[in-house]
Parts: sequence; structure tokens; C-alpha cells
Amino acid sequence: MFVARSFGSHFVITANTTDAGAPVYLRSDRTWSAALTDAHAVGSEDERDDLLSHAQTQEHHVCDPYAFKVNVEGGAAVATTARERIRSQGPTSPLRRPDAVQGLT
Amino acid sequence: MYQYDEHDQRIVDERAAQFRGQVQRRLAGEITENEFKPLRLQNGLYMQLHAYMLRVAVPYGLLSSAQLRALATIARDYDKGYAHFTTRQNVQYNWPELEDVPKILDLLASVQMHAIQTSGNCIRNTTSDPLAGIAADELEDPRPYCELIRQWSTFHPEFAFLPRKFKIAVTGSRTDRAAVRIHDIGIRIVDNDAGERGFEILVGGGLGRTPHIAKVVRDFLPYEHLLSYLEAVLRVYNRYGRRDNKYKARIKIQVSEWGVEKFAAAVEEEWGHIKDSATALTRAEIDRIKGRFHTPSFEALANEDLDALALTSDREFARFLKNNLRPHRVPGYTAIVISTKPKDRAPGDVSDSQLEALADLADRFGLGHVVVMHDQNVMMPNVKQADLEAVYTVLREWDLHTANAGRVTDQICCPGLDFCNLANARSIPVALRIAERFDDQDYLDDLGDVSLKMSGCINACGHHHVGNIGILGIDKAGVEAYQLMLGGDPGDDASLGKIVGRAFSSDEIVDAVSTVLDTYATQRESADETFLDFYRRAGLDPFKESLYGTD
Amino acid sequence: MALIKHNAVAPAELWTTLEAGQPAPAAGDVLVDLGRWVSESKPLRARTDKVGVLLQPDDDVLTLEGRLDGISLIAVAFPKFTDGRGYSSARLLRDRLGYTGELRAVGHVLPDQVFYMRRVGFDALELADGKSADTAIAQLKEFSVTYQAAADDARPLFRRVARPA
Repeated sequence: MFVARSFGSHFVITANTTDAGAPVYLRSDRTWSAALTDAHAVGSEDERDDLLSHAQTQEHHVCDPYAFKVNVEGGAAVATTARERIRSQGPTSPLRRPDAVQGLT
Repeated sequence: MYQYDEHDQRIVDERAAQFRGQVQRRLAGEITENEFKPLRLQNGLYMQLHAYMLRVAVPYGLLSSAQLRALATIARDYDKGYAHFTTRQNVQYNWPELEDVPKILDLLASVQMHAIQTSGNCIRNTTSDPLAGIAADELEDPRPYCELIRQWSTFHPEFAFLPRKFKIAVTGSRTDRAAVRIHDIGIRIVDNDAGERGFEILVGGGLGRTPHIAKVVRDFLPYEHLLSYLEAVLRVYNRYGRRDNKYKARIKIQVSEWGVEKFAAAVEEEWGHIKDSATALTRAEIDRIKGRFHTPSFEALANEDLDALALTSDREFARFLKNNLRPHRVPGYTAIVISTKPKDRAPGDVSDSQLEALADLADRFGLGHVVVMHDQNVMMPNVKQADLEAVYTVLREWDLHTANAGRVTDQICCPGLDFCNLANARSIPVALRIAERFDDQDYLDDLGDVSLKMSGCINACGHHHVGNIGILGIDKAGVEAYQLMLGGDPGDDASLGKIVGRAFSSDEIVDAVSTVLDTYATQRESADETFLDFYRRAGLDPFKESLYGTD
Repeated sequence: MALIKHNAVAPAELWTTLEAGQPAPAAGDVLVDLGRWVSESKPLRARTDKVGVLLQPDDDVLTLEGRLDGISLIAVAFPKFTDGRGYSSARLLRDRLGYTGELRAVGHVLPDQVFYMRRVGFDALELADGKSADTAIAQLKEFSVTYQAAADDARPLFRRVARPA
């Protein structure tokens, strides 16, 4: 069972899509969303492991699921590490953000 | 350029077809991700933070204009319009989709390129000196030997599941510009006392968690035994390298734990059994491989008066002439460093249109090829001095003209936590802030050569251990922080950087770099004492004092 | 666990792997570990049924030098497919010790490795559970040309064909 080094009050499950490697988060209905704010945040290790086991059966759709800890603010999961923040929001370097890249000259 | 024959071509074609089948089986659920992972890694396909990343092999960094155009097409049609040059002379794409990768590999194969063994616990790209073939201090062009090693190592059936990755570099010059001492195997072309040509073999170099400088395992290896000797080294490593701990699995650990004498003896023992096998090279085969390299024909020219040219030109062109040329052994020619480090760009990144422009430039002025440098710049090795003005005009049009080669803003920088699954901290934003802070070109020239190398994690893809100024991004309780080290260098007198003191926050690190440079500028003996010389003379103390005070 | 020999699925074979200290049964084909072969080769050779040696990744295959007589099968274990020591063991058995008997890869043997396995000298492959024999058989011929010498051909490419100048 993979739990990434992180801190917070709840767990969420994440993975990368098989087709594009894009980060996705497991919702309570067990579908996947690109938004961390949609992630189903659970408080117990049992719930976490249950969701993780399910995620591991979804290889057609996602790769290498793991859990990480978040805080919950206003009902939505909030990342507590730089890594998961960047994963959820995209690269912070403006010139490499996919939506900012045009012909470079 | 090495000219593929039908065998070389068939290998890359069949590999692309094989991977197509493997992707299909993955998508159909016939193989698990765990089983697919080493297969995709052996084709250079990583999973990163936001997307897959594809690492394309560029053997010894050499790219023809046709290959540059193919790389541009891939960037445009299958990625987000740009590509990234790496510290192992390769090219990376950050946004390929899994289903497209077989098409990308087909396109690469059509221009004699591939992504074979650019990842995984196997033998990786063999790298070399960007000045190979043109350097005045060259004993022999190393690239044919790199090509021989490439072929020997490609799909080597015994060494596909090594304890860890394996990197080889070859230099043919007295001055090492291929960083052979920080490779698992470093090879130097040498002559022995009897005037015979052969190789000095070094083993056990590498950066990462525990950096090591490679040790000489054999002073002189006759040329025909190159591949059998490498085979012996790899077999000793494959059989006895540590597999119990990922961080202790490189050959540098084995050489360090066994001691170089015991290691060398084990290699000699194994080699004794195989040196007379058919793997031995022949003079004829080496000459044949050399013949497959299309050697450019140079015109009989005289050297231009570049000083006069600099005086009559605009300041930035004059600076380009001063900083970005590298000596060429043929009169009237020069190599040029094309910078991928302008102020506002992630080091090593080029757009698809820049790649097209480089291809056109290579065709018009560069004898049809360029070389990816391990500092992430691009070298055009064969430019006529008389064409420099015309070349610079084109470079300027494409923002490829930054005249900071060797200066502190000529940074080596890995993709870092913005992109990489392994990273602990971001590197690109720091590099951009450094480039922004030190944008006074005159100041940079006054400082002279200072290599600044930055990695976002201990894996050291940014070579921070061998930077005059090295920066290592770390994770301090969930917050990014930056360790500063000084005095590294990858060359003949290789040294590993020493950490100066406590790590700096993201807010502090650029000021810290500034303090380091000021310390050097104010305390050096003269402008002729380089940063590295100053450090080797004065040590860490002056820097500790100015950075941390006397506590 | 499909067994592949001669580019086809072979009938399953019954070999009993003897644990340490387990007495050899009177009848039946048995596999013993390297240490046991070294210490008990005489009685084992005297069996009417076959005896084979099962090599683990950290076994020194060269111990079998001069001890190959009487062995009907050498099985090389791959407990994890990422542990590549068995490839060197196979190569040394063929090239150094001149072993010509059956050399079988067992354990976590996956279809996408069989081309390399064949090249280093394996002539029998026991695939991991659930892995496709058809895929494996197809993969045995995945590449029509190879660069370097291996157990299947001691000559590198340039000695097998006339490559263009």
C-alpha cells in the first residue's frame, strides 16, 4: 500500500492516467477527477486502504495509485506539500506551462 | 554523422514495432503496469508529475539537420511545442501521450533515431566531447568508438537487468570535456610509451546521493579489446553489484566497497577468458565504422581577424565572439556555442520553431549537423569564421544568441519539482531568478568563467556536485530549501563541491549566490584568477564568513 | 505456467524440487540446489530418474565446472524479473562451462524477456503464471538482427555478415 510522505488530517487517493500520465484524484463515487478539490478525503486508514485497493484494479485507466495526506478546508482537499500542490495546479514555471507555451519567438 | 546501414535501420524499426505491440498489450490489459514499466523505461518513457516524459537518445550528442526537423515535428505534433536538452546529450519531451509514443518512435526511426535504453537498469547513451572531431588537442576522434559501444550495448541480452543504470563516456582529447570521471565507465583514448594507441579505463564515477570520482582500473587497454573489456566489467557488475539497496546499487559503490585493486583483478580474471573471443575488434572493423562517419570536407581558408571584427561590431555580437566561440583545428573555422540559457527561458528548452531554425542554420552554415552539449547548450562545430556575422544575425532572430557561454548564467538546471517525479524542490524558477538578477553582461564577463549547476534532488541530474557553484534543492519538512556547495569541477582535475553551511530558503538562495560572487570578485588576486582557482586557493572560509558571518 | 521449448508450448513436466534436508524419493525427476549437487552428486547421479540443479541468483555458477556430468536440466531462478544475474549465469554455463544440456528459466519469467533469455543460452522457458505463451513464442523472434555476440552466436554482427564500408 503506497502512502506518500505528507502530512494532514485526511487521506486522498491519486494516480496518473494511463493514456496521458495526467494526475487524477479519486472521487467518493470512485470515478476520477482532474481536480484535487473533487477528491474524496477520508479520515481512517481502513477507508484509505479500501479506496487504494479499488484504485489498484483500475489499471486500464490509471497507473500507480497512491494515497497522500491533505487538510480539508471548506469541504475540499488542500495539498500540504509543494509536490502535491504542483501536481494539482501544474508547473509553476510560466514558460513551460502548457497553456502559456506559444512559439517561443 | 554515422550512416546507418540496413542492419542499424532494421533494429530501430523492429524496436518501434515491438513497443507498439507492448503498448497495445498494456492498453488491452494483457500486461500489468508493473510488467509494462521496465519495458517502457527501456524505451525511455517515464511517468512524471503531470504527464509521461519521453527521453530520446542522441548518441554522443550528434544531430543532423534532418533529425532536428524530426524533433521539431514531434514537439509540434505530439507535444506542447518544445523540447529539452539534457546533461547526457539527449532530448526530452514532457507531454507525450502513451498512444502516440509508437508513432513518435516510428518517426524517430525514419531519421535513424530511437529512445532505446535511455532509462532503466541497462546501459544508457554513450556520451562524448562536443568538440570531438575538431579539437586541436585530440589524439583521435572518440565518436567511432562511441558508436561501437552503442551497438555493442544495444539490446545486449546479458545486461538488460543490471543492479542499476549504467553510463559510459569517451574522450579522445588530452583535455577531458566529456566528464569521464563522473561516469560508471570513463574511457580516455591514450598512447602508451611504445606509441601504441589504446584506452585508459576508469570505473566507478557518478554523482547522486554518494558522488564518486572514477578510478583508473586499467592504464592501457589495446584498442582491439575495448568491447571485451567492457563486457568483463559489466559481467562483474551484473553478477556481484549490490541489489539489496537501490541507493547502493551503482558500480561506484562496488568499486568503493571492494577497493579498486580487487575490482580490477576481478575484471582482469573475467576478461582473461573472453579477450580472445570473436568480440575482439579488428583494425578493419574500426576503419569501417570510421568510414561510416561522414566526415565533412573543409575548405582551405585562413583565419579571420576576429579581434578586428569584434571592434567594428555591435557590443553583443562582440561579446558573442569573445564568449561563445570554441577553437577549431582547421584554420578559418570555428565552433560556436548556441545558448539555450537566455534570461527568460528554462535552461535547455527550445521551441519547435527554434529547432527548425537550427536545422536551417546547420544546413546553410554548419555542414549539416549540431551537437547537444552536456551543459544543455547546442554546439555548431563547423562554422566558417567568415560566416559568423550571418550566423549571429539568424541566431538573434531566434533568441539563440545569448553570449553567456561559461558565465554564471550559463546554468545547468534539471526540470526539478515543476516536472519531475523524483524531485524535492523546484529548480527552474530559481534558475530564472538567477538569470534575472545577473543580467548585467559586463558584470558576468568580469566574473569570468563560473559554472553554476542546479539539481532539484539528490539524483543530481543537474550535476550540482561538479559545479563551481552547486545548488541542491531539498525538502525541509515539506518546504523547499537549497543547499549551496562550492568548488566542484568535472574535468581532468575533477573535484566534488563542498557544502558551505546551512541550507537557504527559496527567498534567500539568489542573494546567497550573489554574495558568493561578490566574495570572489572582491577577494580574488586579480581578474585572471578564476572562481575555481580562487576557491582552491582560499577555501570555503571567505564564503562562509560572508554568507553566515563569524558564527 | 506454460513451458516453452523449440518455439512451441511443451508438455508440462513433473520435477520435484527437493528442500534442504528432504530425502530424495526413490523415483521421479528431482531438482536440487547447487550445494546439494556438490555434496551429493554421486548418489544423485546413480538415480534412474533424472536429476537437475536449480540455481538461485546468488549461486556461483562456476562451481559447476567439472560437475556437469549426470545433470539433465539446469534451471535458473528469476525470483524477480528485475534481477538480471540469471542472464550471466546462463551465458557462463554455455560459453565458459560448455554446458549443452537443457537450460531453463524459471520464476518470474515474462514474455517480453524471452528474446534476451534465448540469446544468453536458455532453451527452455517456464513462464510465470498467467502469462501468454503465444506472446512469448512471438517474442522469441522479435528481432531479426542483433549486434553483439552472445551464447546463441559467439560472433558479433560484423563477423556474421559483411557490413557495408
